[in-house]
Amino acid sequence: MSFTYVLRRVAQSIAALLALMVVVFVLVRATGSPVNLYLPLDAPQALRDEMTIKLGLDQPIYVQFWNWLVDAVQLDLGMSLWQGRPAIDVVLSALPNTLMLGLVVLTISSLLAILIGSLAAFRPNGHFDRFAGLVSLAGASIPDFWLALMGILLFAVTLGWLPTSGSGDIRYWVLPVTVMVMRPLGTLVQVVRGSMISALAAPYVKTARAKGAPERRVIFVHALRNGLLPAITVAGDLAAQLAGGVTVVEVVFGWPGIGKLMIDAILNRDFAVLQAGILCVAAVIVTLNILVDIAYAAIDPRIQIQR
Amino acid sequence: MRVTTEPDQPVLSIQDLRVSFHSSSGRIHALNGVSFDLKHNEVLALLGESGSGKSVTAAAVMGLIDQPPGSIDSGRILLNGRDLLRIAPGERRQLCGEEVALIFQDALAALNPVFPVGWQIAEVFRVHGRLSRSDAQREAVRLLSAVGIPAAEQRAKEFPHQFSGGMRQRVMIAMAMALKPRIVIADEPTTALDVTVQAQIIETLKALRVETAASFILITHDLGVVAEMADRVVVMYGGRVVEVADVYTLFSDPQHPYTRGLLAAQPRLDSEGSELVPIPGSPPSPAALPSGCAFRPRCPLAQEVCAASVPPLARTANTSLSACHFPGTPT
Amino acid sequence: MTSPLMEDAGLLPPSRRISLLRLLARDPSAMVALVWIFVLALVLVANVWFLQAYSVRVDLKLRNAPPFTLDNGWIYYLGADSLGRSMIARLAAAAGPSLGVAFAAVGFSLVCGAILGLVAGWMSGPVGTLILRVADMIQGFPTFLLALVVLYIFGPSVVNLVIVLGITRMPAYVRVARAEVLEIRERLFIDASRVLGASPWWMVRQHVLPIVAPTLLTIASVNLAMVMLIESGLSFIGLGIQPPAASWGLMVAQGRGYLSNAWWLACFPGLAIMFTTIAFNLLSSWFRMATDPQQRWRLEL
Repeated sequence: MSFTYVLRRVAQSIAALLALMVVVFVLVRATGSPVNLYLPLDAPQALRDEMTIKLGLDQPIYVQFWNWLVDAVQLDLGMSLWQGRPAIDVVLSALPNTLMLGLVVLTISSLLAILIGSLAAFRPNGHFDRFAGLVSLAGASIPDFWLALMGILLFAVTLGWLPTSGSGDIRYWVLPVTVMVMRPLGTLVQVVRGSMISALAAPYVKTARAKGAPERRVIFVHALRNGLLPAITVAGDLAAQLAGGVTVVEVVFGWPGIGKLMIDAILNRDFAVLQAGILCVAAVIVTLNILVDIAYAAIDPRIQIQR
Repeated sequence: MRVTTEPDQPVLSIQDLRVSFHSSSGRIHALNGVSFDLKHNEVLALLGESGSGKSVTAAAVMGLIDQPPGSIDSGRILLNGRDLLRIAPGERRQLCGEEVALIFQDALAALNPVFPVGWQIAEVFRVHGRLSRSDAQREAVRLLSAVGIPAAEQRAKEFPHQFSGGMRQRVMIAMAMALKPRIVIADEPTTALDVTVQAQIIETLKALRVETAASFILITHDLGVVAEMADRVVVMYGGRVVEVADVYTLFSDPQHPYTRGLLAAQPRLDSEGSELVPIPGSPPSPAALPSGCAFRPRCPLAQEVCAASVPPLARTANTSLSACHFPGTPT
Repeated sequence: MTSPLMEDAGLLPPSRRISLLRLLARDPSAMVALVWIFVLALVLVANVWFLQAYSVRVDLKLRNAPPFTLDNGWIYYLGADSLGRSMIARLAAAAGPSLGVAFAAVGFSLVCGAILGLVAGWMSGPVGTLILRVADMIQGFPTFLLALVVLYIFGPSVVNLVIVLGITRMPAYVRVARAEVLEIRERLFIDASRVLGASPWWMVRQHVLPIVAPTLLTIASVNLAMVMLIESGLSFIGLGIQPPAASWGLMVAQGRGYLSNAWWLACFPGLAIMFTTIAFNLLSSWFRMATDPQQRWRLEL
């Protein structure tokens, strides 16, 4: 894999981010009175006029865009009116909490999915496969905010085993992680199962058996290596969704991550933070995409990275 | 666990093997009472068209038939006197690679695309607990050069898609021969290759046969390959054995109408100007076999008795075995 | 289901025509799902008929009345909320908006996504690439966050909600439609039609749509459940369906404050969402199996 390839992907990603910024810029101004986004709905006109000038919204469009661009490149995404700090700082202090949670959730989902999906693929339509199907159905159907509330009801309020909200030691992680694992697990189990069924039906599996390899090795060495490939792409997509912070879960559990931050920003009508949040999340996602590409190429020797 | 056999005792004996598969359109009878023996250091050709059951036979011997949807309904497969269908799965698995090995038809599909070729050959040793990782790798390299792959050390680290068709087939051969099995089943080893490469592969196999004194089951539909390599031939049709003869007798004095038909349909250098005579009709679907003799709908000699009863495999005048009510009758 | 061995044995099942209803009957979980959908339809009818009145009748004596007792009459069997309104009636009243938004959003993304995909595939120049790139970007971004921000900017009206939900789900349809068009464009029968003077639209309708439609419908059926979950999440946050209209997600939010003393306020609406999404998911699995020639035999056995 060449350095030029990575460089090219990075350049593409930056271009995508720029495009996103343009879109945000346009959308905001498309509402007619962008200043309203920064102020409470009942703000007096005088305040609106003052803010309009302060935010430079009275200037010609191209001047606005140029300023916006210059600021953005220097990572100056405006001031958080609500917290009195630069918006980017507010966002960056919340981002790690989300990323940590996302990482733990993704790791647990992936490991469980590999195990359940492989065993389910081994005997399609057998008992384990039905169990796997139920897991996936649950993951695709249970509303996460509701599950979170029921979890709190049962384990925190009724049984008192776990805290109701906040973050801290491992007890604070149990409920949020359990709830957040459901949906990615459901999806990944199906993906792993599907690709493992294909992998297990492939001729090279028969070759491995003909060589006398035990079933365990056939499944987890020969088939899995091939079966994981599609799962990696899907896992990448899921990671992107998790990077945005599973908002409702963060809100219900009071987890101080990006998702909750966005909601609070909305409630406080702080558009600068909202904007900064989107851009940071987008940056994380493009990085993830590049990492997924690299991982894919590392595992499948047939992928030739073109210059 | 190697049992030495008397030279005239068969290494492998298949007795009345019946295999069927369940499908949404009913039960498919793939093998309907297949019986034949494999002798020490002989090359036995399993000749037949697709659908005749030759690959299913090989899979049954190797234990590669998934049950369900397949099922081995009856019969015995005796390897050195032990019935493979009745031993413990762990033991059976042990025999694969050690006593019996299979060379697959499509080498590109049969090799795992994500592992290097040397690793896959070395795996045979590691799985059977014979050698350490580094010793196994060394042996793998040695095997690769033994089957005629140049720069074996380098090539062992490469992946299947980086090899040509002929080279891949050699890799498969190396993998099969690794533990010096007593029986090697080669499933259509030359079908996917072009003619010049075919000849090379045949030569490689012949040399191996001499070196290792193994017995070969050669599955093919190609009469040329049969003529080149085989000592004896088992002709299969509709999941049954219809003729067993040594290769010279088969070509000079075929007994079964199907065999005659096959030979007549072959273009020969010495037949000047005579027409090719294909066998009319097409092979039967194993889901709907004709009653009685499976070849009856296409046989020029067919009579009522052919529909009424399945002809047994019986010895004919020229010491071949033939499953026909009217063997040897000119068509 | 086919392995090389089975192909050697000549095993290729014939295709048969069985009516859709019979295929449905062969799948017990799909039947259960259908029953639930039927129940929902009845609920909607009942709502229009008489339940509506009960959903707004405030009775402070019955504040947070517990469920599973007939003391207050059958209408209060699932309890009452913090204003004494019947839970049964409120759940029924919320069914309409929740389901309506889901169907509308899916319909919107299906139609627009298909059109955009067809256009992108047919005119695969810069226009096509642009559509594809935008679709990629939308698909890559966390759906909920995207919806949040857009609804904040433009205001959380029902129309905006439907549009946003539709747009976030569109890329899948665009991709599929475009891929089909690209593949079919190269085929000979298209050239034949073109030589005969057929317009692009005619060719698309006659040739492309019949092939693309089943896949698109499968995606749509899967999306129904997803969109319902997103909408209920947005309503829970307060950016979805706004009061006085009702939505199951909104009801869960309203019940959140009473978790310790009136758990049914938050629990039952969530169950309603869950049963409905399960039903949609089961039906979409059935649909996928029924329209996939390779898997159909499972239902025909």
